[in-house]
Amino acid sequence: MATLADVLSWDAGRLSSTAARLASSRSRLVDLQDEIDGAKPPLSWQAGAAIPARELHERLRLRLNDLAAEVSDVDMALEESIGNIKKAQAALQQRIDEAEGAGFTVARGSGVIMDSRTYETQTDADKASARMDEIAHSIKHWHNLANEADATLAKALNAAARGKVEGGAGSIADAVVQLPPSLDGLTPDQLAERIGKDVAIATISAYLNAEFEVASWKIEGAANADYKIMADGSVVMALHLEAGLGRGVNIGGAEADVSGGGAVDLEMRFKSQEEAQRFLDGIDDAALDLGVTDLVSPPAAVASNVWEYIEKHNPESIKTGIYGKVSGEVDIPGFELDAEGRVDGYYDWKKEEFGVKGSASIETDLGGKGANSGVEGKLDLAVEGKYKTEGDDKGFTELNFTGAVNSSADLQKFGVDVPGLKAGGGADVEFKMNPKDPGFTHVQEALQRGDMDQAAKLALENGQVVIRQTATTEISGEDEEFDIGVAEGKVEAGIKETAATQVWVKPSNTSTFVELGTQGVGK
Amino acid sequence: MTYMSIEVIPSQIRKAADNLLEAAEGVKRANPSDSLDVFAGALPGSQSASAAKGLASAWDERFKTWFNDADRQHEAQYNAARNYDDADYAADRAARNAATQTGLIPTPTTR
Repeated sequence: MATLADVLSWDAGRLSSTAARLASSRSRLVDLQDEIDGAKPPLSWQAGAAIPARELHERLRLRLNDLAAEVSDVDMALEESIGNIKKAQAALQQRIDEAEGAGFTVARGSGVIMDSRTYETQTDADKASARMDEIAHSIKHWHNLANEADATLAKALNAAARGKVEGGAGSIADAVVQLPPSLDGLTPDQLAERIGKDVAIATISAYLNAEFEVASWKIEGAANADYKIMADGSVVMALHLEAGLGRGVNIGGAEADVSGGGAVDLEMRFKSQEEAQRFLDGIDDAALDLGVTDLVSPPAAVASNVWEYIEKHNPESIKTGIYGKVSGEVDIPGFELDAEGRVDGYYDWKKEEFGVKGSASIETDLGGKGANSGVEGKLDLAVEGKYKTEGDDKGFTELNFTGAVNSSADLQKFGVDVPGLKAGGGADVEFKMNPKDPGFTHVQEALQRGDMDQAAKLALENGQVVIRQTATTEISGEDEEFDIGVAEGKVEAGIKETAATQVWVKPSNTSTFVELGTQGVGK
Repeated sequence: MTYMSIEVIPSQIRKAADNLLEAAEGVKRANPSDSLDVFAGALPGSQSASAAKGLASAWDERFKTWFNDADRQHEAQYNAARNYDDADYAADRAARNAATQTGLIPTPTTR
């Protein structure tokens, strides 16, 4: 067991580079499938040395699968522990600060809390003692969790070292499908319960490339919905109401005039597909309740009827066009809307944040340098940001810039130096700025001035940059069955390979790209 | 029924060997053992730090051994291809014939 002092000193963030290296190693190994297949001794060679050659080839092939499985398993375990350790440390620090703020002392070596103060009354002393006990209990809990995360990781490292991770006899891509320790050995029901939420779905589908069912519905000209059925059976729905139906929107006592902005977009969540379907059927009824059949331009009474019905189902997010919001009294604080319409967006009444959309363009002129002399480069980007109007995190909470280049050679013109980027072929570029990134204030200032181009340029320099290079040929896009093998306690899945995509990430405030490997294979 | 000429088989043996060597180079490049070095400094006093050390040397040995075994086999196959002669060819043909005829004992023939 590591002491409290040890745990507090752990720098799990340093292990992120290890995780990236492991992911990269995994993808390199998976890429060797053609070579290992081609290394099989030819069938025409039967006699003499052919027999041991064939046996050796098969042994090498299986060993390669094992190596890939080990690397993948350790990567998964590592990524999980990094998260768990950081979480425990943050909680520990918070409780220690609280204890010290209350006048207690916390011994970093033993974790023992002491109170050397004297109290005027027994009641005061009892209260302090109770508080101290509670904090001590909590510190012990998080200290234990940190040690558990360490133990779990050590277990995975030891298993790999002892050669206990099985790569199987199939392809290398099959061998790397390894669940992280928290999901390993769960039954299918337990898995579904654990991974039913959105974030987990994204994670598990990266491991398994699971497909969700998607359904859609519409009332012609008035409303439509798309929904996804998640692994735990819950449904996430995007409901879109056209201007006519949406104008009855009434939130927090103030009626929003969305006629300028057009449509209303809502995000809703239901426990089951049946519940979602009943909800959609109910909109029809709510709309037609007043005997009106012309939904292209429904009267206000119908609109508010529909709205009342929807409100009862507690939408998670309610978005209206930004101009709809502005035509009321409130302006986006300090944000100049571009007169030429390059800035647009929405306001989310539930989340109390603006979504800002715009476009930007970064240009570069290489002047007289070498082969690219006189050549200009231009990167066109779509910009999307979220801006919170209330609360402690007021201001931009998220900022994304996305674009695409037709030729990866173009990226170099913008000082984007990605080792291993294949010449030719297109690439998608995405960069994000997080409010915690240094340099964020400058980006925000540029945006508030309406200078999207400058904002983009700064974000490219300082933000997290993700480059995805898509191969020019697609590997078979056939749908594969998703199956959970109960007997082995492991999940078997066909890896769905659509396009082979290489992904590089330059974390914010760094200047190097780390190869994350091939998407669609365990990542 | 035509059978491939005697030149083809050695060239196939060499081609397989070349693929094996490429795989070996790939495995060598994929060796991640030195990425585990950072554990000791990042997680002092932890179980993982010592486990990582053990894994680093296990992996280094495993990746290197794979490369060496494959490299050696690459050489062995090139030798086999170089020394491939009529007797080998006859033996291979016989084996192929035997494989395609059920219940017959193969009789090597020479041409």
